Amino acid sequence: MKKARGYISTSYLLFIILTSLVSCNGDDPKLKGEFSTGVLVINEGSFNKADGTIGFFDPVSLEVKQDIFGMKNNGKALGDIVQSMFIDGDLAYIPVNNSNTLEVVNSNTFVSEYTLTDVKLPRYFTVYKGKGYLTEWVSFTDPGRVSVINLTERKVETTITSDFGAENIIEVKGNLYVSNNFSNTISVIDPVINKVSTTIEVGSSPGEFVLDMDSKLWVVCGGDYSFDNASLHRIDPATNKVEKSLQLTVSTSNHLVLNKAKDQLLFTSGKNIYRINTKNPELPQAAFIIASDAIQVYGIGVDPQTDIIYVADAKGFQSNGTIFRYKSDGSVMDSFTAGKGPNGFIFR
Amino acid sequence: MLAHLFLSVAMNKIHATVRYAFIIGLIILSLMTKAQSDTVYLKEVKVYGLPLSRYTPGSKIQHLSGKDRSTTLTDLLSSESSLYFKTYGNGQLATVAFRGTSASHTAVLWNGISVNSPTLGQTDFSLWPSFLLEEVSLQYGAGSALYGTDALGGSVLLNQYLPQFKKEKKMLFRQEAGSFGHWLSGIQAAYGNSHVELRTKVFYRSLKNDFPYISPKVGFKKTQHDASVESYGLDQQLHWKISARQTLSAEGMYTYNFREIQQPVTNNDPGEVIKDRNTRFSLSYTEDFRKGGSLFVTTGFIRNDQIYNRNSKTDSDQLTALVQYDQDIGKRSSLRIGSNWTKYFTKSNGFAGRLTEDRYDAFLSFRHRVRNWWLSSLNLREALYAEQFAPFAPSWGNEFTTVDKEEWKVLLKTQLARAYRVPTLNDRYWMPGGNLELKSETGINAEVGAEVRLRKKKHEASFELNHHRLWVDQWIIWLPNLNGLWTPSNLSTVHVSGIEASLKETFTNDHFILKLGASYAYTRSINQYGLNETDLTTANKQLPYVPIHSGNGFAKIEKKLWSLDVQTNYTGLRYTTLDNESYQALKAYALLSASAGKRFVFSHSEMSLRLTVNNLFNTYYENIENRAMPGRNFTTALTIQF
Repeated sequence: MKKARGYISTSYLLFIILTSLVSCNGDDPKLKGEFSTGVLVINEGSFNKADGTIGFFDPVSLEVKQDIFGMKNNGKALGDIVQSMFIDGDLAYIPVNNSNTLEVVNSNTFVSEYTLTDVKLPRYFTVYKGKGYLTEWVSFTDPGRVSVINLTERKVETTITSDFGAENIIEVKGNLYVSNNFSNTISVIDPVINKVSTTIEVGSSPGEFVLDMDSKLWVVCGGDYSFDNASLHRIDPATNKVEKSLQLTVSTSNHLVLNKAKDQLLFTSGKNIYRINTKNPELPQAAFIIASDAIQVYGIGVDPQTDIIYVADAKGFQSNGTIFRYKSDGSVMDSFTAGKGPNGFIFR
Repeated sequence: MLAHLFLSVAMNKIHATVRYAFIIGLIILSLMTKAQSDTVYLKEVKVYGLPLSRYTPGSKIQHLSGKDRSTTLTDLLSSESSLYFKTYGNGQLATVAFRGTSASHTAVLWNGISVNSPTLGQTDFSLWPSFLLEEVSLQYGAGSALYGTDALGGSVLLNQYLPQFKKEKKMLFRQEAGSFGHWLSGIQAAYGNSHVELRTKVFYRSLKNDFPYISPKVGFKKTQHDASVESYGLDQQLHWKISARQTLSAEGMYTYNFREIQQPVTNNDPGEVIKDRNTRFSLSYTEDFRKGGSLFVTTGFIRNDQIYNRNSKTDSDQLTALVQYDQDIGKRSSLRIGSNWTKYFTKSNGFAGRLTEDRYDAFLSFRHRVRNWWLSSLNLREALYAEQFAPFAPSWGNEFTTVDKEEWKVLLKTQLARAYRVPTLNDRYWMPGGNLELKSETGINAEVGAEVRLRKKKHEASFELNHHRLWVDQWIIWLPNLNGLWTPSNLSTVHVSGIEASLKETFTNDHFILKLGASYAYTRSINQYGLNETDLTTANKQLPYVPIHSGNGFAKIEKKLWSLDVQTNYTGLRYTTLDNESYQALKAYALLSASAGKRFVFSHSEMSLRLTVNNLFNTYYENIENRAMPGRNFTTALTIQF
């Protein structure tokens, strides 16, 4: 009896090893890869240390994997300031700001596909009609630009100059909106002619966009460093006019996210997380959440399936970051360890 | 004979444009006349400047000898000591930390004047060319009572050799060429008579730094680019013996350094460039009085100009005056009292306009030979900066000679000291974020050590063992505040404890001299608390960039005119974050270098040729994450002196 059990467990073990070798994932054979469902944490890393990474958090098992790019690519580094990530099907596009690269990986396995190197201080990426659009600062003294990338030939087709500090990019109704972070403008690009068709004036240092449930475009403006003049603006994509502006009298990060229903904007200022209703936008009287255990709130995300709020604490880049999780009512859930300088999330 | 005639003629006609032709001609002639020459060694005279050791019984002091083998202070200190350098590449920014502290906890004094940047509170050791320096010594442990601010972990002391005032004319040429575009040319000249001594040093150095490397973070072979360095400098000393008891010494040093900032291994494009110009003047007056009194007065002017990326400028000027008086009291005691004043003038993009600050220090030292076997010294210092008192810094050191035989000597040492670091100008005045409420960092240092010296005719040895502890409070850290604004605060407490051991041996016989040495340091530098009340991940962890284990070893054999040496050093694993994640740690490494040299001695001149191989096993290593360091590289050095 003992012998038989021993035999069974050995063969079972062998079975597990074999299946895990084949599928790389024992739990769900439908998955395309280890990272096709879960939360990806963008850890930008310290400037000039090239220690930016992508981490993976499984919200079911609560398991955390650090530096999944290094793990799947023989210990290679993603690079210097991993700014953001955009997933389009089986590919993930990662602009690495100070390395001047766009790293393209398989979004399910994180195995590297290719690296684009003829870009300058890239920030954000999006895909529209099969083409890639990458914002680039270019430098601190030249106007920023958008590189149009042929994704099959893997090369830059053309570039469109926007304004200083080309930052976030979003496609709405066939137009590309680019926030120019070193200025106070939004460039609206017509991708048919690859030209800036309209320029919209907003507050100082525009950052990320979100599109709410009424298809209105919101942009957060971080304001000037230490001037507490951040603002929020609602743009109607039909007219490209600013419909509503809110002066926030605090300083905010460049990050702006929506809740699951897309009727609440969430943004951070210091350790405070504020919430504003998109239908009836008013200056918040008090913080929605105070991340009191955090040292430096540096990023925020909301899981569009569960409405769970993820708050990234970069801890002054002195150590690895911590991610604090809150329920949609603002109550504390738990926390997990991130990499260096977590700044955002991708939910899959 | 011909060589000598040629020499004396050439001496008078020496001109920059014919320098190299002259050197080459000299080599050929020297080689030709080698057979005729008799073996007279030029005697090396080493008498040290400011009597350093007088008030330092109980503390660990190390004199560095390999000045002639190194290009910058970085190379010198990293090859001969177990200090940890945060090096951003070969010839790039390098700061040093003693005993588990940080770069800001190292005092650097040039001719007794503190030369740490007032804005950053640190020294970039790559900006100090070895060729212009004379005596370099290190004092480990808290030294604020003697050296003022910043001396928590240790102090680096750069001094002149004492003038000899003897009749001499000396000339030295050095030419180095090495891998990755290393090129150094230097001339030193000295002239002396019974009243005046002049020393001149000039050098030019360039480094292309196009070394190949394979970093695991890249995965394929890359060649470093855009990391070149070019520097030159001049040092002029003038010593005037006014009378048998009075000496006036002046020194002026100018160095220029331009470098392309080496980028992390993942980056392909050039980084910024940085240009540094440093001007340093000092004027000292020494007078010895009857009955064992002596006066020492120094004034100094230091100007540091830095242009970052051709547009961001930081200027700082510094004026210093120091007066100290020493008096022997009987045969067993001596007393020193003194004070200094320093005024800083700085201009930076980070400050609102120009910033000036005055600092005043008053100090007193008393040394007493309590018994023949017991020497004790008490040093006190109080400093005033920006109209507030710096922490009071006393130190008490003892040296007990427990065995004192002809061939054996055993010393026991103890030191108890308090040291401080005044917050830098950036810490206090940076716009925005500077914090005027910052307190000085303070540290209490306690150490015990033993030294055994063996002195036989053919065998000399010394063994040192030391245990040190340091408790630093009010450690300043920059973090974002509630509004997301970066600001410094007196956040951390760090406890350091460590052991240092070293062994040196010299065997001499009729055929050769063999020198062996090894040292080892164990350092625990522990951050006591988290970054806030609930942060547990950073409490009780080793500070980043502090190797727990480090050590080095060397063997050197000199036989007649030949010398061979091998050097190795080991640097243990270093964490790069406060929470000590091992996947981000820098791997331990060991480096080996070897060199062979031959001297050619003539009746009035000497020539030496040395070939050095560094990083013999072509080890890839890093001192800062993702900054490549050069693999195996060669240097040839030719030195001619007469």
